[in-house]
Amino acid sequence: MKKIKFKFHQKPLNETQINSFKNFDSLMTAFVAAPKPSLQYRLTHNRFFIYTTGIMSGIILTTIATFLIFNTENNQVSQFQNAINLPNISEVSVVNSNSVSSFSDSNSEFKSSGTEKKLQKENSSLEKKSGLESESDMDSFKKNPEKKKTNGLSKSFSKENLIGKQKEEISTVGNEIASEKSESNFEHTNQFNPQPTITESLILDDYPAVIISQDSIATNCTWTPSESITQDFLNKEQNKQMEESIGQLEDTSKKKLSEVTSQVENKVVEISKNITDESKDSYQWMRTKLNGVFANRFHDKRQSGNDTITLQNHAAQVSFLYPVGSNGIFSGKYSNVFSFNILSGYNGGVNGFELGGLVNIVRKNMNGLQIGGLTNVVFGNANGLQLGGLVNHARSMNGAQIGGLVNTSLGSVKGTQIGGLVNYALDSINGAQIGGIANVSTTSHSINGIQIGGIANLSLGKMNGSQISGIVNVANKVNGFQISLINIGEKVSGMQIGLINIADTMKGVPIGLISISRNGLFKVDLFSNDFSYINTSVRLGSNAFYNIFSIGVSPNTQFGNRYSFGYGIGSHISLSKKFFTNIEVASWSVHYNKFAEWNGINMINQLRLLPGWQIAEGIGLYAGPSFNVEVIDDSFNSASKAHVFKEHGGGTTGVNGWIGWTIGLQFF
Amino acid sequence: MAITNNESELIEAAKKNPQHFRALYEKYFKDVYLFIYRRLDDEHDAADFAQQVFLKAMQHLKYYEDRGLPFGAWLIRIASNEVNQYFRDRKKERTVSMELTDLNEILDENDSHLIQERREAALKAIKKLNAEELELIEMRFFEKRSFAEVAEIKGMTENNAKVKVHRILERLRKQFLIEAKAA
Repeated sequence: MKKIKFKFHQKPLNETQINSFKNFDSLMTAFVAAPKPSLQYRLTHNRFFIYTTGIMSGIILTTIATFLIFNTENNQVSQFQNAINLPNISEVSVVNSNSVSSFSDSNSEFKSSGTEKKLQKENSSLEKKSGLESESDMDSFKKNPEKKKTNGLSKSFSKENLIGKQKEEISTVGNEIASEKSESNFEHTNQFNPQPTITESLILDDYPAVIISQDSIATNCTWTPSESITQDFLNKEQNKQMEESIGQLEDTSKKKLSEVTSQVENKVVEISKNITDESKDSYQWMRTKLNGVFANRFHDKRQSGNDTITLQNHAAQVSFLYPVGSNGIFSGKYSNVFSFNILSGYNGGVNGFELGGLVNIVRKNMNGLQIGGLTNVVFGNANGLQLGGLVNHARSMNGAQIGGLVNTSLGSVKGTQIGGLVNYALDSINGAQIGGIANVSTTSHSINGIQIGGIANLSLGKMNGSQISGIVNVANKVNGFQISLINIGEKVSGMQIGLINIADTMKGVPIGLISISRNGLFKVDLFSNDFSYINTSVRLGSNAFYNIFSIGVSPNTQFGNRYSFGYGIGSHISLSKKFFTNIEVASWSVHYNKFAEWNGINMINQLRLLPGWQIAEGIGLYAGPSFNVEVIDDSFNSASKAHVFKEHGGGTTGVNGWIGWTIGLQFF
Repeated sequence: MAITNNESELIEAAKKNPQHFRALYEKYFKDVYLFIYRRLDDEHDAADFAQQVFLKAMQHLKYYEDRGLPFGAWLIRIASNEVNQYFRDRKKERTVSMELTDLNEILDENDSHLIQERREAALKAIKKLNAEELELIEMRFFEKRSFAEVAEIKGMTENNAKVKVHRILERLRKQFLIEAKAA
C-alpha cells in the first residue's frame, strides 16, 4: 500500500452526474451474456453434494484402506527382502573351498565388490612369500595336521603330492575351525587375528542385525589353494616321495610356519583394513537399499517437521510393542483409520481413532481421537482430541489435549489444553488452557481465550481473554481479565482483579488492595472532612478504578485526639479538560488518643461524590458531600451529632448515619 | 442500512427474476459508485467498476442470505473486495480522498489548518498503514460512516470496529509525532 495518492477537496458529484452512469439495461445484458458460475463453483456451494461426496469418499477410502492393509500384510516379508536384497548364503563364500565359512549374515555385495579377487590375490602372494610352494614344504604339513590347526593354516598348503586321505584330513580340520569361528563370531581368538575387533557393525534400529566383523573377515580371508591345484596332489607316486621327505622337513617347516604365521598375520590385518573401507561402501549400499525404511527414520526422528514421506493408508493396525504389530517395522509408513496398541505403537499417521495401553507415537499427523494410557506423542499436527494419562504432545493442536500431567504444543493451539499440572504452548492459542498448576505460552503471538491455572498463568504475548489462577498471572498485554492473588501485566486494557495488581501501562480497571502502575493513576491528596480535619491519601490504579489509602488526624477534639485510617475505592471521571468528579467509597477505622487502639468497633463508611476543578496541571481542587454510616460500639462517642438516622439493635453496637462533607487538594 | 421487509421481498424476487434487481440497483448505485469513485478518482472508471460490482452481486445473489448483513453493506463489501483486488493486481496508485478537517480529527489537532510540514508528516504516517487499517480509517473518518456501518461492511462487531479504529488511531498519532519530529 505504498502507492497512495491523497486528494483533498475531491470534486463533488451531484445526483444528475451519478445517475448518468446508471444503466441497468447494460447490466442485464452483461448478466445474460456472462458465463454462468462454473460447475465446480456450483458444486462446492451445494451442501447436499458436499455431504454426499464426503460420505462416499469416506466409504471408498475405508474400502481401499482395508484392501491395502490385508494386501500389504501378505506381502510384507517379500517387501522386506526386496528392500535389503538379502543374498543367498551359499553365494557369499569368499573362496570356493570346503573349509571356508560363509558370511552368514552378510550380503553378496562383498563378493561382487572385488573383495574375493583381492583375497585370492593376497593368498597367492602369501603362498609365494611363505616358501611353501615347494612339494616338500607341503609334505611336511601332511604329517602333522594338528599343528596346522594350531597355526590356523589348516585350509592351506595343498598344492602337490598330497594324498587323498591327507586332503580329507585337512578339509575336516578346516571345517572344524570354520565351524568354531562361526559359532564364536566375536569371542574367538586365533593366530591370524589375536585381537579381533568389530571393524564395522551396522545394527539398524528394529532391523535384523547385519554384522561384519574382522573376525569373520579373517575367517573368510583364509589362505586357501584353488581346487585345480589340489587335484594335482592326488598323484600317488608323488605321495610316496612326499611321505619320505616329511620327516626331514619337519623342523624346517616349523620355522617356516612360524615365519609364515607372522607374515600372514600382518597381511590379514592389512587386508582387514582394506575390507573395512569396502565395508563402508557396503554400508552405503545398505543405506540405499533401506532408503525410506530405516535409514531415513533416524533423520525423521530428528526432523519430523520436515518429514516429507508420503504415508500409505491402512484401515487398521494392531501392535503389541513396536515393532511387534500388524504393520511391523514399517508402521511408520502407514496412516491408519483405527490403531490399537496394546503397550505402545509407532505409526505414520492416524486418521480416525488410536488407542494405546501406554504410549502412542505418531510420526506425522493425527486426525481424530487418540487415547493413551500414559503418553500421546504426535510429531506432526494433531486435529481432534488427545487423551493421555500423563502427557500429550503435538507439533500443533487443533482440538483438545487432555493430559494427566502435561500437555505441550510446539505450535499453535486452537482449542483446549487441559492438564493436571502444566499446559505449554509455543505459539498462539485460540481457546483455553486449563492447568492444575500452570499454563505457559511463550509466544509473542496472541492468546485468544482463557488460561485457568491452579497456581500461575504465563503469557509472553498478548492476552485477549482471561487469565484466572490461584497465585499469579503474568501477561505481556492484557485485553480482558486477570484474576489472581497477584496480577502482572505490561499493558493492561482490561481488568485486573487481585490482591496486588501490577502493570506498566494501565488503561483498564485494576481492582485490588494494591494496584501499581507506572503509567497509571497516582495521586496524592490533602483533604479535610467533617470528622477528620487533617488527612492525606494516595490514589493508585487507573481513572476507571483506583484504590485509596488514607490516614488522618483530628487533634484536640472533645474526646481527645482522633486518628483515622481509611481504605477505599473510587473512579475518576473527566467531565472536561478542567472539571472532573470522583465517586468513591471509603471505610475508616477511628481511634481515640491511642494511635493503635484496636479494641471495639468504631468504623465510618462513606459514599462520597467529589466534583473538582483542575486548577493547573498537577493540582486539582475538589469538594463534595458524603453520606456516612458509622458503626460504633457504645463505649465510643460518635464522630458526629447531626445524625439523620440512628439505629441500635439492642446490643452494644449502634449504627448512625449523617450527611458530611469533604474538601481537598489533589496533586499529580 | 438496515434491511427492510420490502427489501427482503425485493431480494427474493430478484433471485427468481433478475429484472427485479432493478429496484435494488437504483437504490444502492449511488452508494456503491461513490465508494469506488473516492478510491479510483475517475468518474468513468468508477462507473465501470460499479457495473462490475452489481454484475457480481447479481451472479451471486442466490447465495445471499439475510443473516443480519444488510444488502447495502453486502454490496459495499463486494465493492471493497473488488477495489482492493484491483489495486493488488494492477499495483496502481490508490486514491485517498479527504478533507483537511478530517486530518485534524484523526490527529486530534486543535489547529483548524495544519501547516504544510505537519500535513506531510500526517500523510506519511497514513501511508504506513496497511490496506485494512487504511480502509477502516477511510470509512470511519473520511467517509463519515458510523461504526455500525463499518462493522457491517468489514464483517465484524461494532465493538471490534471501535477497538480496531481506536488502536489504529493511537498508532497513527504516534507515527505522526515521529514523522513530525523527523521533518
